[in-house]
Amino acid sequence: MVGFNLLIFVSLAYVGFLFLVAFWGDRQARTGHGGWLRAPIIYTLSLSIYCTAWTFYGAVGYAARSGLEFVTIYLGPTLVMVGWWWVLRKLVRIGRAQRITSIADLISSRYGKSNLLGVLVTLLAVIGTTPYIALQLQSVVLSFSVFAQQGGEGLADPEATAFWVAVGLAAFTVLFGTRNLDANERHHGVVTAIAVEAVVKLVALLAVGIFVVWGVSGGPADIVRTIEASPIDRWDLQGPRWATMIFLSAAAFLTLPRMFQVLVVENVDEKQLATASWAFPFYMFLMSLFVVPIAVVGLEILPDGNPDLFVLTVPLHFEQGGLAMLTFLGGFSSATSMVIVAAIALSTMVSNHIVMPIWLSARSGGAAMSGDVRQVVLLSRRMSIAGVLGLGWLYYHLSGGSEALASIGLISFAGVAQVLPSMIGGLFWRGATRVGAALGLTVGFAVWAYALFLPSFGDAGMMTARVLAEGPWGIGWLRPQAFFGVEGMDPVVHAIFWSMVLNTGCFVLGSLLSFPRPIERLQGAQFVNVFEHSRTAQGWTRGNAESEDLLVMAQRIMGASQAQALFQEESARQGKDGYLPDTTPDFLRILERELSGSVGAATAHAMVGQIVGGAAVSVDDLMAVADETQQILEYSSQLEAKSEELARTARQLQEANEKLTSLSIQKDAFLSQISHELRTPMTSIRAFSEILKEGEMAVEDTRKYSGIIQDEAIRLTRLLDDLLDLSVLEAGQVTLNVQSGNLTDVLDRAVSAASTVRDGRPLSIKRTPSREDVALRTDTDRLAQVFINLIANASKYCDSAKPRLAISVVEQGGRRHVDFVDNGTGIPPESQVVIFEKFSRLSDQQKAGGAGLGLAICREIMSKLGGGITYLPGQGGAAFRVTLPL
Amino acid sequence: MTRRPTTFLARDTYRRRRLIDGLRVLPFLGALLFLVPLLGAETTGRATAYAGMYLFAAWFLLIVGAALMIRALARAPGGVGADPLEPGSRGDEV
Repeated sequence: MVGFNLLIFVSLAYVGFLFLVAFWGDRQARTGHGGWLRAPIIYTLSLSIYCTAWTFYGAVGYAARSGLEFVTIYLGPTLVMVGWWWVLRKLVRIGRAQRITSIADLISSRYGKSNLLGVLVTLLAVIGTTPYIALQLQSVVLSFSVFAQQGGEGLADPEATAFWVAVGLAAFTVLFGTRNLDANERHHGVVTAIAVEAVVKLVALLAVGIFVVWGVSGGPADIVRTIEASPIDRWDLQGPRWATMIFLSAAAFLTLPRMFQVLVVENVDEKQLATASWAFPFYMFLMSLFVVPIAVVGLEILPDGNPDLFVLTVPLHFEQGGLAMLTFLGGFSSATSMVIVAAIALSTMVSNHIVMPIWLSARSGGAAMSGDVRQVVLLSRRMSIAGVLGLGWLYYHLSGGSEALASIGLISFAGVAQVLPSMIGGLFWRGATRVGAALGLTVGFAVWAYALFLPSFGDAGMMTARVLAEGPWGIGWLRPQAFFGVEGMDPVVHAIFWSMVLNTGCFVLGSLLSFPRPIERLQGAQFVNVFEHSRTAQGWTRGNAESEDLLVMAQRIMGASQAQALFQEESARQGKDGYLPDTTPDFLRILERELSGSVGAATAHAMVGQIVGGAAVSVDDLMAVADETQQILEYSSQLEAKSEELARTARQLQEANEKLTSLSIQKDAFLSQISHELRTPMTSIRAFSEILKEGEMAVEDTRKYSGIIQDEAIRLTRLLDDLLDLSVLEAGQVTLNVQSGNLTDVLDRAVSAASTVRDGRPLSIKRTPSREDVALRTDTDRLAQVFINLIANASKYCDSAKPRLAISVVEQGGRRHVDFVDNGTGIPPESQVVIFEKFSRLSDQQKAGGAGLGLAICREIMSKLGGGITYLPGQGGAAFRVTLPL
Repeated sequence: MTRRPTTFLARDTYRRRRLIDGLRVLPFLGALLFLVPLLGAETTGRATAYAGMYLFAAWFLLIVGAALMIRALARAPGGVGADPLEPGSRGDEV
């Protein structure tokens, strides 16, 4: 027999022991001996706060009422843990990369550090968790009363008991949950205590199970017989409910604030998660292994007892005082650990997303000017813890510890599960926006409250039986448990189905239709692609922030020594002495991340923003950056173009220089040439005129010599004519005699005029008359002169044994060209550039009888006529292309 | 007996990725196992004792499968997914 006083003593001793454990854990972590705190087993055990008093006591009750359905509460989390590679791994990585402090912080941070969403999720979490805390208080009170009844006295004042339990838990949580504003929000003491409690509750439940199976019954076979004989021998499996419960527990496992706290915030190493992915399902497996046996044995021996308390009452029935005490401690552990972590998680959310923003906006002086922020944060946390527990107690007080509390677990799960669409969407879909998340959360929350939460109060609440049956104001399709007239669904399944469908629908639709702010898009990319780049990139443009102001603020939040260390480190990195680094965007980013570990992303962002001058990235900044980049790109491409142009010019200059040099050489050569040319006829003229002057010769000789003199004079005249012609052309003083004509005629004239016989080798000319029929309106005489010149050149210089000249008319790019191609060796490339220059002659072919002016004249003529003449390389022989004037 | 030389060089990395693929499949396998009782539930009632045995057996199998895979993954090069934020570790490639 266990006396009530002994029970009080044992529980106080247990609490004292937990205090010591927590104190020791904190101390180990602080003194750097906390390596074992990183062990995966500690992490796995801390996850056991999922198994609250509701599951410790309630699972057996659940099984006694609905058979195997209770396992769904564990199967969902099992799937989530086993599938850690999909969601949890990403969640933990993001939590560490972004210094996430709570689930509200996660949602707020993902959607552009939106405080609206932070507040929304916080409210949802508080409303969803409060009944759950009340449930824990109730379970502790109930278990106390069981012992009190056993002692024959009865629990004098259950509400007072609940109150003092709440006060005790608040004290414990304040003491170990808000000891320090750890930069990464880890509570080693609390985690250690919770790990111990996890072991206690597992051992307790296993002990009762083993006692029931082997102590009360005769082993597993006997238990099977007992099950067969029990009221729950048939498994009445309701498909939709079964599937919905698995989904719901999986969703709640991810979104419950306390689970997020231990899963993500308290995680120190991803390897912990890998081990926990099978170890925690195994823990839950063990926790539920003996639930059905305990339930059926309880139903058999205590048919009138409260099934929720079989875990306690069965050992007591068999006078196993020690076992009952252990079980009591197990239940106590389940309740307290849940309440402590939930209170820490909720207080962090309330303080970071509700109290701090209000406080900051109230103190318009700015974060640097105001008082000790650190103290304010801690105070607001402590107040929040007290507030959360107070709310839990109030709820318990108001509901009067009714049986209705038993179903509150599922209702609570369904409430917090509303965060799931925004959370999963935020992790995997970059297009998810703040508007969509806010819309989805609000709608999902409203549907949950309307269809599940409010009806749970029964007639006492707003949902009277009449509203349930007929709908509000008689609107049938709005009946809280039969939306759109779809009847016959289980109320819980109904509420979860519609809230999730409408929530997800609004979230997706809102995201598709709205447009995210720049910071939202940055954060979205950071979250979705966390494995690609694990550094934050929300930019602070270099504002007018004074590092001193920042240091003052950081000291107040992080504590003096930690802040100074951070600043000094940054200074050193920048290559400076002292504590005041330059406020580079990079440094501001690091600082904000450190601060967000203490006060949450949104608040940290706001505080740094106050000092920096609100210079977070705005669209304008982004545009400016983009413009700048664009300008730089343009400038560099301009530079590139310019340098190309310069290179081209240099090449041209070089070519021109080469041309000039070779021209100068040619000119020198020509001068000697021309003097020679002039001198030769002059010499013969002089010689023969002297002979004639002497007289005394035959008439025949006189005529012959005079003929020679005349020929030479003609040659001289022709040379001088050419020179004159060219200078006139070059000076632009020529007058053109424009007339209509036909290309055939001009060519005919040219061919007949040109001398086409040289050294007895006649030049054969090939023409295509059909193409030559082109009407011309130009100075046909001048054009004929050009053609004559070209034909004469071919005749003179073509070195083939059977010289041939092809004259063809081609049309290209809207212009007509006449090509003169002979079958000689052509003109070497190095000479091609100078042939159109004056005085250029490629050979010493004196016999040609020209002075090297022909092509120069041709070029001048063609340019005067509005056409052109070019050398056409690669035709097999010398080839000239005359472009006809338009 | 000596092992035949292989042309496939990054065998370890390949095995690790397939192991991760297996981990990814595991929750779906679990969901399948847990939802199997739904088949034919409307037509025949089931004995709690034997259905319970099936559920717990399936559950245990899933846990053992996960544990074995994690163990193999932890031994593979690259471990269970190195954390780039941890000093001295390298980012994992998936």
